[in-house]
Amino acid sequence: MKFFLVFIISWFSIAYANEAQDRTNSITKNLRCLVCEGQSVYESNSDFAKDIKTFVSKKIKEKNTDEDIYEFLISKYGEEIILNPDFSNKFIFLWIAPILFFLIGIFFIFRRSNEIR
Amino acid sequence: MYLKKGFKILSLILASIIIFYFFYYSLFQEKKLNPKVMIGSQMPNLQSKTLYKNKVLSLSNIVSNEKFVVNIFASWCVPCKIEHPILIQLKNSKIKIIGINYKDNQKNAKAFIEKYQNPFEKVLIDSDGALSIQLGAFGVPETFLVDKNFTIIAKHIGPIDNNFVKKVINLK
Amino acid sequence: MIGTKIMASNFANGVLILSIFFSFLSNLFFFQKKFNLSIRLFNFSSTLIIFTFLLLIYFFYSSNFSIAAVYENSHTLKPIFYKIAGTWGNHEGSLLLFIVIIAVYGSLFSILFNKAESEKFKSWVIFFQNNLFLIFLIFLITTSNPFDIIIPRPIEGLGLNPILQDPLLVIHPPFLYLGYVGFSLTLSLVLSGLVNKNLNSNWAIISWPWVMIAWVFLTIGITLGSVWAYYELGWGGYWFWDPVENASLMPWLAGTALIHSMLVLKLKNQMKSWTSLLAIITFSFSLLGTFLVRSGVLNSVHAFANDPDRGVFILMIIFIITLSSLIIHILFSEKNKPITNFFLSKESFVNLNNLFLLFFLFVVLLGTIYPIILSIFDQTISVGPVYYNTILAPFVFIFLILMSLGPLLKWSNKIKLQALYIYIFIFILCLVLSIIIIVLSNSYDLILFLGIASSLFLIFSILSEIYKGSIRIKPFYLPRLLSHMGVGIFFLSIFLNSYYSYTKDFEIKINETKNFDNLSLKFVDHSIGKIENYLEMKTKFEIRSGKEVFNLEPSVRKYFQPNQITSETSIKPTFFSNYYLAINFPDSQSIILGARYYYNYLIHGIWLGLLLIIFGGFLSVFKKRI
Repeated sequence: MKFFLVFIISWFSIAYANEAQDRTNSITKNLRCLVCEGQSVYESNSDFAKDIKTFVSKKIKEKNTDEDIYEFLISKYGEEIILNPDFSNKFIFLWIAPILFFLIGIFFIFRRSNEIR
Repeated sequence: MYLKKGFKILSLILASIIIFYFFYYSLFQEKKLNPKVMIGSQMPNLQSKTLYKNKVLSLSNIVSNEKFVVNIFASWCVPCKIEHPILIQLKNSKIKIIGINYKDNQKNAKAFIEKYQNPFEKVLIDSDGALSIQLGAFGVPETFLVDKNFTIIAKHIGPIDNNFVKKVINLK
Repeated sequence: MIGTKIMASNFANGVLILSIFFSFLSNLFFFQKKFNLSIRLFNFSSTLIIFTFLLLIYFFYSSNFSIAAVYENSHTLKPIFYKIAGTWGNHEGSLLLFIVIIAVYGSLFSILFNKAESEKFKSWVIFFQNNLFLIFLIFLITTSNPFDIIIPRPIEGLGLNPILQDPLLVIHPPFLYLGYVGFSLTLSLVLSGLVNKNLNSNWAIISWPWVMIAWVFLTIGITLGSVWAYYELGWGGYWFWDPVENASLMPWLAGTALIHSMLVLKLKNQMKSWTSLLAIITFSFSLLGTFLVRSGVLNSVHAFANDPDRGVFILMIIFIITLSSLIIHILFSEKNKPITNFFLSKESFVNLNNLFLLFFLFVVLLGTIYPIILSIFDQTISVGPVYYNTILAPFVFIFLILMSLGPLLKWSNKIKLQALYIYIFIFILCLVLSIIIIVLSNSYDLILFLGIASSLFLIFSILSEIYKGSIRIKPFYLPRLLSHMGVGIFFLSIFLNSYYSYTKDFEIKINETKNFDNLSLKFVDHSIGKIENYLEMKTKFEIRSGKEVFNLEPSVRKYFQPNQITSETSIKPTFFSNYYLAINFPDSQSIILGARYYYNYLIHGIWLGLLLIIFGGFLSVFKKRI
């Protein structure tokens, strides 16, 4: 389990690389363009996405933390503007269920194997 | 043997009824944009330059202790022309309408208002979309109904219709 | 003149109804055990439906706007190519294509499969295929008739979504359909095998090419979609975990699992019940894909119809087909003798393969429908790419390693560990190589390291297998070697691509030059022109990257009706990478242009990998034995 945590943390550290300008990018990559189809704000060219991009970079210049920005946008647009799920309660099933699925499968395969029997 | 198969089939049918219902339900859900979030929350006290006087005003300078309507518009927006007569109608019923001029050329905006009459009490300029974001808006046109306590009562995405007018008139 | 046009519509409708009639008759004769006649009637019915499809193509070609589907989706000014493509660029036409493909697969099977002793089996296959055909045909004629008429005849059509006017997007749906719908025949084969109790090695040999060809088409379809997303959507990506993409990936994963379990059935006469279950799952997910795309449950570039009633109909069809197939499976599937395998044998590795593929399927399914599940509890959330990448990555590594080892093992027998020593050596070599790559490129990252190592291991183990057999490579193994090699190259490229590519966002004025490390971009020239139904802004940039100097000329289009902006990217390919530039439509009053520059490393590798997978699968269709 610890092993997986290392994975996940290193993965996130890539996704949220920290360079000055890149902070805007990492935030907008994690925001869903609500008027587009399956794109993040970062990827989209729509007016909506452009506004959010401008807004986020302005907020960063005003020394707001990432949390402040997320919180503000959630209060305006709802949770669905956050593109990527975290490990909070409402997503727990999303992370746990596949692992359970896999473990049950492994159990069945091992039960079939000669050596183990 | 047959009992076991019968049991399997029965549970299969039960499971599929549940799954069917789930997809069926999702078919009839509101999907597109979710205007619910802002409703019931406090209207942000927007602050910006106005279109005609070029001085900074905030909402609370313009209206106090009365219901009002906030309308996001732009001269380049086609549906805005469609809803314009309804805005005029609202204005004639003595409702104050505050326009938010979204990412527009000021000349064009003024020309637009002159051509189609002015329904707005005041027009705040939203040059970079920041005001719209404070309103949780997705684009133009969008219209908000705010009561005298500055609480957002209704939000309409796209050109407003007579239903919205009724809501405005019926609000105390 | 108007009279003849109306007659055209009536005529087409008449043929449709006739087709339904003969399809009914085919069922009738089947129950009277007149198998030959039943098959012939099915073939006649499918000929009629193919004819109606050709008719529809002709109506689109001749811009016959008295036909509703033509009026709504075509325009006289459209180029011939897009006029014809418009036939399947809408809900009604694509559904007709769907039915045509069911018919073609069924008829081809009835023509190509001629074994006197299996006549009963064959007629059952056609019976099931005929009923799938019939269900969708009734759906077509009741809710989405492409030949609905408009009186009076409009003078001009409404046009086609501009984003769909792209050659790749024209051939992408037919290939997807040939894949999705191809699995309908797989289902019929399985159901017939179950009912006739002959789901055995022989069945697997008969069915193999039909399953493989559907799988190959589906793979091509997904690849085309991905290539299109890469050069058209303008942000350098090739896969964005969009629910609609996921919908096509799910049957692919199930189908891939099916192919591998069919191998066991073919060679060892095992996994009968499981294989038939997988076939049912595969076609069900194909249908679910259609449902997700067509019903408007999702809002997406791909969704045509936002009509919940149609969605209900499709949903009912899915449940009727899936439920009745599963009931047949429960009633007829033979009880497995409890079989045990050695852990280090091919059988248990095929089991593992199935587990991993179904696990991937489960993740994709869950991620796709989780927002729908939570919406029932009035929560609105999104599940973005980070979820899929995070949860899939560790499993992909293990999967790749198992994939390298699996084919080296033996059927129903333990392998001596000594035989694997050479591969342990290769594995260590791969680890060392990955460390070298990581140190040289100065990007210390665990995921990258494991990604490179595991995909290199797959590539090298296949190379060593080829080397060992170099004197006479058995054509027998060639499809597998090619496809697995493709998978290795595919994943290696994905990992390298995601770490060594970079993006620069910038805003630029004309004649300005932007400098990044060893890259400079100069905005040289631009022009704006009005073309047909859009405004196009063309630009020219001069790029210096290291020693290379070249021009990129991206443009953006602003369509008027519907109001939509599309971006035409400009790509300069080199052997290892793509230089890629996309621009934004500038705001009305500003002269500053927003642009995004990508250095896309090894993107060719991804396409090459996919090509190899497809080619391997294609060879396998024609493999005589096994």
